[in-house]
Amino acid sequence: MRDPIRLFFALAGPIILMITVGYGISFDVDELSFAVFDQDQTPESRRLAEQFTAIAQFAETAPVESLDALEARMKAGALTVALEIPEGAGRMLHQGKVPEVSLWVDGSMPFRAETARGYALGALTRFAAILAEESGTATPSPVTLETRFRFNQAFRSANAMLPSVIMLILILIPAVMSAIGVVREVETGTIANFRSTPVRRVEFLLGKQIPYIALSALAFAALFALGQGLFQVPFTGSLGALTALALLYVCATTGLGQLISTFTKTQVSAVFAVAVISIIPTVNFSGLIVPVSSLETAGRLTGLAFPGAWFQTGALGTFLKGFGWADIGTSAAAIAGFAALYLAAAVAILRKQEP
Amino acid sequence: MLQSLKNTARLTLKELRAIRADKVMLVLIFYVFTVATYMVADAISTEINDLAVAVVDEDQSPLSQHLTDAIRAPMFKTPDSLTPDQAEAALKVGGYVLVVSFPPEMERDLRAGRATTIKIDADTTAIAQAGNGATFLQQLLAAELSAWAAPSGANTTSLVSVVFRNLFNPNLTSKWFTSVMELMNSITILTLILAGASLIREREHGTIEHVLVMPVRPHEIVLSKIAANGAVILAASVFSLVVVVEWIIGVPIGGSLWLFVLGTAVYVVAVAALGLMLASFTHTMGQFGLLIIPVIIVMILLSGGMTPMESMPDWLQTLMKLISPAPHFVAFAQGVLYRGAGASVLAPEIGAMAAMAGVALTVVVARFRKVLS
Repeated sequence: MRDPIRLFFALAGPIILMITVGYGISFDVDELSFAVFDQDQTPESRRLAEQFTAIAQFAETAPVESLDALEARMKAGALTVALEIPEGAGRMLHQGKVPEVSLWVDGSMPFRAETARGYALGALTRFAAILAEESGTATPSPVTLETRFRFNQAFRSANAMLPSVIMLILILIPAVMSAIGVVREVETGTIANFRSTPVRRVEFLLGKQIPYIALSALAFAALFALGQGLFQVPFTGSLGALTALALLYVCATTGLGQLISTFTKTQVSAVFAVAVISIIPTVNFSGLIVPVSSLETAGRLTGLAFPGAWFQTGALGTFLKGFGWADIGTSAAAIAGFAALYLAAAVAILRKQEP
Repeated sequence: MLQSLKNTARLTLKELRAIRADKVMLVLIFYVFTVATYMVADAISTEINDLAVAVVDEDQSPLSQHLTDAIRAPMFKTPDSLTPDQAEAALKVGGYVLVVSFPPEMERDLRAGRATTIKIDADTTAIAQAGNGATFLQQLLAAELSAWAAPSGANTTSLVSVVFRNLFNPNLTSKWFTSVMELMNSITILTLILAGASLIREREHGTIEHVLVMPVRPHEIVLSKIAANGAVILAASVFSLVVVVEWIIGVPIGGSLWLFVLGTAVYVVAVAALGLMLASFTHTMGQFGLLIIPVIIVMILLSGGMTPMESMPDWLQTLMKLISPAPHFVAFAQGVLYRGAGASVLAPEIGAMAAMAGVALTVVVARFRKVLS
């Protein structure tokens, strides 16, 4: 703690991370490059094409002249979606037949491709409704499918991502700080002081952990303020509940760092182990990109074996779903369990005597 | 010149011995390139796949049963049946992304020609899945309902049928994408830490003085560190690509494997140079650890591999393309592996990575003397 550079990193790191990741992780799919390949060139085919160019998220580029050109442009990454209208489509529409159009999508980024497909389906549905209304065959459908988007109606990526980003930052930075704290003593030999005094292992570990917990709590306060101020994420739940949960969480994450440090011999391998052990499950299996409920079993269990996934539920809930004290009970209990488990395991592994 | 190469080769061997000495590290490298790559590719997808859905069926009719049965894999998990209160509570704790509610008397109303409303609740905190998931679920239910209303097979709702053709990844298998991205993430994590740590270690142990009194030049030391760490990582990544990605996961590698290895090698060198450069600005492993973790996360998350690059604000896109080799590697990897693009198309991306490596190396060599004193 007497190291001003580390102190600066410990507080500035989370803030810089929050700003870059908060702005950067976004699932807003727009400005998809779009082109029409119209082999029909009738008023009807142009009207159909208009339905697509009217989609706000599509950015229209020059029309395509041939399938080869279409493929070449997609290969160069210059075209994401293309609509192909076959010859005779307009005539078929007049005869009441169903023409078949093709929507070409660059599949190398599945999420983009799928979103583009969703937009296209919407456009086609609207087109069908317009035509039906014109031809007078429109019978209002007896079934209404009403979709309600809950907790984040505006579909703001920032609202959904920031609680998860806080989860990510508050595991990585605290864990790496505390891991290095213990290993450095081993590597530089100052651990001998501890070995030669009657300090108990628990006291030694807790004594090393408390400053890092305090620092991480400060980092949490800064992150929360950023989320409210810069990113304008609504906060609908109980601040007390979230704070309590965050404190438990940083106890667990600093504990994880200490546990890792007890079985690594060098600071290098400690940093390495923290990075590998904590980054992979938290980035992938804790609800940052895919909700834990929709993961396959192996992934879900991996996620639930770390405190991150539990904190993510509580953080998201207090921010967007109006969670109070009662709602965070399960998460809090699980995270407290992790904190106790990590400390107990670290105490068991840390040898009081020279091996 | 020859002497210089010899020195570099000897120093490289020394670095390799240092890597070999750390057993924990070796185990972790192996784990990352095999188990972790496989697991992530297997579990993670932003495509609509296995979404957790619940059904609140207050109709309990053959129709509602039929619609419930239509919600199935691969897009959705088998729906759980809940009461309205349970569904509300489950949405709150994030148990389901979508909840479908069939109203009481739905089938009877429809048969009598009365209007009815099916509700879909989407938990939009699952930002990547809720929108597309709801769209597809609506399409699915609408199609099932119109088939039920007009069993003759005449689809009355659509006047235009559409065929979706996906170039370069016909079934939109995100495994293809995720496994390669996970490989890149592994390369990023390991190379940054290994390369940076090799410099810090010398400093903390004081062995750098030994190196300095030897008749070797700074650039030889720097190059040897990159060669040793880069070779280990590159060998592990090629192994991972061929065995785990191609053979076990079954991703068809579209383009040339050698071209991919070349691009990966350039990326590894760029990241290693970046790791050394960051290490040259810190004094202890503790500082380096705190600096490198945020760098890793930013590089991984803002590479275009996790979320679309186009979705980022313009200033951030430009910034990331200037300071991080990762976006260039993602663009390169997509080009080679999916689109089968050739070297000429991908030259700008490889060039950008090489330029970054050059800049970082220049900084490291320039700072070298200062760092060690």
